[in-house]
Amino acid sequence: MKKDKDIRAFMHENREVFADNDAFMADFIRKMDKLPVPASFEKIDEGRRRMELDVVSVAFSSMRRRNLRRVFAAVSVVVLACISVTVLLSLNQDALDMLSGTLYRDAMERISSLAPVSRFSDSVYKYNIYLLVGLAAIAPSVVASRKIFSLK
Amino acid sequence: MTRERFIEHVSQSQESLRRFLCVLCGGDVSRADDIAQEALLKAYMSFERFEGKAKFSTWLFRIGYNCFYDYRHKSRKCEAEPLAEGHCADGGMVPSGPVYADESEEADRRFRHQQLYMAIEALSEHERTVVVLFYMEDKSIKEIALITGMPSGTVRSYLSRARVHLREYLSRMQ
Repeated sequence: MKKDKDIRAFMHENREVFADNDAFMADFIRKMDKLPVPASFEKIDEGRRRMELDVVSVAFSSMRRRNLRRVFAAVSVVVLACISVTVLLSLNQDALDMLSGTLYRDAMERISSLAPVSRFSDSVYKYNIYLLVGLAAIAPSVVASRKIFSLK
Repeated sequence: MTRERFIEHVSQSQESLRRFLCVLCGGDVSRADDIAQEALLKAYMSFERFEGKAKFSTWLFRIGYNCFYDYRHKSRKCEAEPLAEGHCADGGMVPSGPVYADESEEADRRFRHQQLYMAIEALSEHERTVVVLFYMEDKSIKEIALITGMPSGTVRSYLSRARVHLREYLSRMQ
């Protein structure tokens, strides 16, 4: 009397064997691609999504820190340059007097030609020139850093 | 599940599904493949209905089984009222007959598996389905009940009757 295992063996021996599985799958995927993606496949795994956001966040923080360092370096260079020039000029008092005086006189002549300006102490105006020159040198760095900080 | 995982699952189950549908179609591989493609595309589009309570392959087989009966119902309806070749009374298309790329190859293939088809020829439709799922595709009674929509008791009853017939057939073969 044949047993279940004999029936199962007979069925397995005589069943169809397909050699074109790859072609069948390729055909199926081709048809699948023509269909709109069902909503159930658009759901993204929450855990994976959070992980991807963390990676982006870390990359952004790293970029921001790098840009801050660059801005600081640029500003430092400008400030150091101004300080260096001032120190050098102060070592040569004659050159400083001549330079500041010349700049002061030119500036006052231009300003007074436009509008009457009350005259403050010469030394106040004299060193204001340095302040203006320093600000003019730092201004490009400030503008550049604002652009960097505004990138979010 | 992602689309890639879906394709991976389909890849693992497609041969078994095709084999099952091939037996239901009486050995017609082309027709079985058409039905299998249709079933898989339906599974893709209605994936949100898969609750995960049963195996993915069981769910696929269920869709394939339903697609087979939809096809058979359509072909019987069109056989009853033939208007023109390829058309049905309700305006639908008749499923075309098998197109064999190589007739001799198809004949060889049928000859190789004729033992199987002779063994299950005398079984009723439901008995054939149950036997193929149980012995050929190694599905459990519970899975067969889910695929066919029959109660487990009915599945066991069909299986028991088919088993008797198959045992006699195999005994006669020796």
